[in-house]
Amino acid sequence: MNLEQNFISQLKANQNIVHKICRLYTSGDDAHKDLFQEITIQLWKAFPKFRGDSKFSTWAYRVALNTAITLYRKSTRSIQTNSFDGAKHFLPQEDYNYEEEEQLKLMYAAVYQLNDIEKALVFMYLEDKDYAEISETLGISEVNARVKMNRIKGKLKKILNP
Amino acid sequence: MEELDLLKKDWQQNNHQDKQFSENQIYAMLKTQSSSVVKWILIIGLIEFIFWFMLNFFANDESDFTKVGLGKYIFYIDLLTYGNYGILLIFIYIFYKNYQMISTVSDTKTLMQNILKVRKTVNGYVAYNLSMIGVFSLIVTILSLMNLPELANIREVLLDGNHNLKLLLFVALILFMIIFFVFIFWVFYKILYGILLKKLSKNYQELKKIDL
Repeated sequence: MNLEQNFISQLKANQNIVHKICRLYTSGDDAHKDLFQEITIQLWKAFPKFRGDSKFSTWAYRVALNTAITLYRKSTRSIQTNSFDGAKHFLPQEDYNYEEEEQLKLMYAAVYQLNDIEKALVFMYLEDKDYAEISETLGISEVNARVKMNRIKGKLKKILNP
Repeated sequence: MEELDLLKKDWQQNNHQDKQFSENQIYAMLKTQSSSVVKWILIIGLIEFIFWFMLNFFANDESDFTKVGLGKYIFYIDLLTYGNYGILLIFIYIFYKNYQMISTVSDTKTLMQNILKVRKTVNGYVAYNLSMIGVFSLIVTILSLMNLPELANIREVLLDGNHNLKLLLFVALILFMIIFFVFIFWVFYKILYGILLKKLSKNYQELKKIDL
């Protein structure tokens, strides 16, 4: 199998990682596809150096996050605020499941309001990465990653209960 | 935090498969051009190197110097010119070295640092060229004033003590020139950092703040 085919099939199998990052960092289908495309190009560029001693997914995390935070130039912050306001209108309901779903909607909207770095931390938290890996991926100390994560939790709480 | 754990549960259960790309779609993406910051930094950096090289190359006409009575300084001017090329090579070498260090596999902070380093090299190069032009024009102006026979009158008038205002104007003109060059550099810097690196610089500052 040649390098290109190998890469395409591995990326296809692991594309959820990239979709999840696009979901956090963009809003709208066009922006989503745009970022996905840039991440794909960056992954492909870095692929010859991928040795296979780590899992494709672990390796792809880094390249994808780095692309979203560092290399990608477009920002979609203004739209993200709208999606938060939109979610607000649905508020109180008696039905439990509905309430939970609403709360989730609000949570997602709150996460959208965070800045790029905070989103990266939340993303890795949601992916169940430990602080060692978070600190290694972002290049900050483990203690500071932990402190920052606690601050983000506080910030989210404030957004949800102003 | 209860809410974040709720989100985590949902995030993990949700298989995020509402959007999936086929192999053909991924293949098509591979064939498109990247619009990444790094690519633009490389292109703009190279254009700047070529621009300043051309300017140095074509602006150095020895006969012009002889014409303004600076023929006896040709040796120093040549020395400056070749020294200039040497410094250009050093800048290109540092630029290339830093550029090679950019890797999307490194941690986010290191990646950002390396990108900013590449850009700083080019900014240093622009600053160097502008200050060279500044210093060089200053020297040529002063030497011409001191040496050109046609300017003997002006020399006397400027320095006879009765024309302090004119002398002041002359100094002001030189100062204005220096400020003008600094301004050009500032515009360059603002455009590049403002448009190209705004997001990256902001995120880098944010990341640095965490580690303070």
